[in-house]
Amino acid sequence: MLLAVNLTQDITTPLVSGAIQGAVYGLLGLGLVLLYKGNRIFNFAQGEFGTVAAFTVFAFATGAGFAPKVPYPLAILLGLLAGTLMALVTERVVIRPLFRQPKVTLVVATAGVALFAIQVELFFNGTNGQTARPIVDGEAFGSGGLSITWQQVVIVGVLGALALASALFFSRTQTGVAILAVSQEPTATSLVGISVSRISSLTWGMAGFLGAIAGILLAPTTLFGPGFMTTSALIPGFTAAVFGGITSLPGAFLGGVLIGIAEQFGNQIEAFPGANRVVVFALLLAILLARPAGLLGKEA
Amino acid sequence: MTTRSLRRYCAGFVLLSVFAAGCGLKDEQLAQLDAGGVPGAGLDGGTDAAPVDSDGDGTVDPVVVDPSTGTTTGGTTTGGTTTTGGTTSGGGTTSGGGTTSGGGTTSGGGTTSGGGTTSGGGTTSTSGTKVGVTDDEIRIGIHAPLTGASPVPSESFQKGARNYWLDKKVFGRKVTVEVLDDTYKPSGAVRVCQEMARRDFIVVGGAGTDQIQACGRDRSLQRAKTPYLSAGVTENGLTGVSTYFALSTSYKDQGPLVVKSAEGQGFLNKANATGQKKWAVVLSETPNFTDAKQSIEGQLKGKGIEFQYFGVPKAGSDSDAVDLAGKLRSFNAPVVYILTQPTFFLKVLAQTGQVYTPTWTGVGISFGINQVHGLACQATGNRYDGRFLSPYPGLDKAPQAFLKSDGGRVKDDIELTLWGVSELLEQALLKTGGNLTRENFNANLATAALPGGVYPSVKYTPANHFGGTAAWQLKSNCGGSPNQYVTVGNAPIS
Repeated sequence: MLLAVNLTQDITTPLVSGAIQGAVYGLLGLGLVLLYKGNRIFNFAQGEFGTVAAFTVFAFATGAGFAPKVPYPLAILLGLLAGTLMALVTERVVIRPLFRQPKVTLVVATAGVALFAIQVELFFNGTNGQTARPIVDGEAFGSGGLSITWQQVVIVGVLGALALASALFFSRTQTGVAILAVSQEPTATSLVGISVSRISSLTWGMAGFLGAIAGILLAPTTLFGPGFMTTSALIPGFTAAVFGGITSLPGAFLGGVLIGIAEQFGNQIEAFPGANRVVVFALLLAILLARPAGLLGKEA
Repeated sequence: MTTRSLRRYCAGFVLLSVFAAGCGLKDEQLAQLDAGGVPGAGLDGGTDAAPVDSDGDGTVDPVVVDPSTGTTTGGTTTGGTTTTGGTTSGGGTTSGGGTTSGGGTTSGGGTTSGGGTTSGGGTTSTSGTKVGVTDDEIRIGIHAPLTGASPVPSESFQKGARNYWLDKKVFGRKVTVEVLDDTYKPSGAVRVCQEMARRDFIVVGGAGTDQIQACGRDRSLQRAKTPYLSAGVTENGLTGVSTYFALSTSYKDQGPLVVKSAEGQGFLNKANATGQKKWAVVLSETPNFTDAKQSIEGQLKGKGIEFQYFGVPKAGSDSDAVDLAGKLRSFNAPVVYILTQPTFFLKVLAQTGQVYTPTWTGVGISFGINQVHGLACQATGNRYDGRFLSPYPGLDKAPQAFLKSDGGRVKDDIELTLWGVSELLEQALLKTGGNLTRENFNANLATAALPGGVYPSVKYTPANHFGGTAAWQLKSNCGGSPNQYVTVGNAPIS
């Protein structure tokens, strides 16, 4: 029996939409992989670096609350600064004092940071949802029912560029190698003159910056509110990171995109509500069973 | 960390995630933090879990007073006195059986106005049930989601619920309104409805289809003859409930009005850029929207309009919004009928708003509130074209009495809708006559025609408690003055 398939609606659209949505997961996954490479922990506060950044952009772009209204590019810069600053403060106030504690303590501490951040966001914003204007307006491509906006192009482009830059950073720069060294043997690393605390701050600052970019790019594509990055993107972001190989930055990119696509094709199984999530987890299990280190993962 | 331990870590994470998703815990917990917290979003379009049958779900048993014997069964009476005939005064006298504790302390969250104590509420006599009525007071309870996944703006709701009654008396009695939080869950709604039914004369559903339906069909409320009123939502499960009354047209009855409104405003046969004339029909997949779906589809078929149905999960995620946005763009209908959680609608708008700008239409209330308008305009760069029905007009047609009330302070449309509900409640109470018993109230309202005011008039028959006759038409006005929904026409459409 022939199945009636609408090529655009059933194949192309989920493929493109999934890749774009997956790019956001990949962006979050990048930050998670970075901190895993640097500290060997899963950072549950990664999503909130993005939420804080998104709210900062929103507040300054619209003049909401006590924030003065500023031009949009400046608001974006302030958002990036806020996300990075939050990560640096987290590192200095929470992570560094616990650095010698078991890793599980650090993981729980990051969950605490996320919950604290969400409460602060609730305090300032209430439970209200917000919508934001896109960074770039308009349609980049439209044909036969398929439409791609410039905002979506920016999301994919930024993710690709960041994944590549991060991979080069770790493989081609001394600082990147130092980060890996600190994660593997902090005591020995400090004996050769590398400042562990400086490296730690740098890693967290970079992770905060990546999270901020993810939040700022995702916010205009949804209704965002307190904790939105944690509730809507953190689990897929983790999944993307694991899927691609938890130590591989390009793997996070690839994992995110593949998960986004799998999710969208799961949505096509209309007879089974929630199939999108089942498809993602089934895929992840299959990958882990076949290749435990993930698609592109390798030690360090 | 070795590959082996990483493998275990990941496998544990995956299993935990699958377990959480399978248990249905994750969505509910995440929903608390979901960005979908649009004020007013739960006014009608929202759906949550499946309706709860209170008799079997382990919730606190209600106090049920048998008017014929005066006996009280189940639970503990709060703020009530039970007698078999004769006069009663508040404060804990019991005769003829039943457990009584006077006072009536508010519990279960939310806020209680009119003081924290109930004076002598809850007289039951063989002539009828007078819970919540004393010589100088009539108590009304309203539930709404003040917290949860789709909360209404709490301050506006609290003020709006009481504003109309500030300077009014009904049969010489002041009207006291309490508002309780149902947390946007049917189980939460049943709990607060049962609580209010023990001390309030009437219970009103302020928001949320599933919550309204859960209270409307709760058997303990029905056994206690508690009048339960709400804006018109689904008819599913509420048809034939003698104590339930819809204060405005139901989703089902709004179907023909949506099409009529589209015809009147000239977008019924709107064509897209390629000249195609068709509608997309988008609804959350819940039995409570089945009547709305059948109604609009029947109407479109009747008019010969091509359409395609798109079902979405009740609690649509970001991924679902991306999926729907892609499908809608691909289908490229110039008109979209939508009935989902407004939060989900806004997520879809954020996805489609830049490149796909159809006319969005549908039934009221949720989509017609100005908070949704503001966010929709923002998400689409002021390209949003929303034409929704509503039981109340835009603020541009708000009556002077409303605008001048409470010292003339600035009020929003949430307060306006509650003003309209209060007008109808007052008219319903007056129809009952001086003998305010629940039995009298229900019996009189079942044959009453109420003239309305802000809300269109309603007319009930014993066989049909969905008395709504008309609906206002609202139209978006992004970037205009006022930057909010404006009323189409000078009268509701019927």
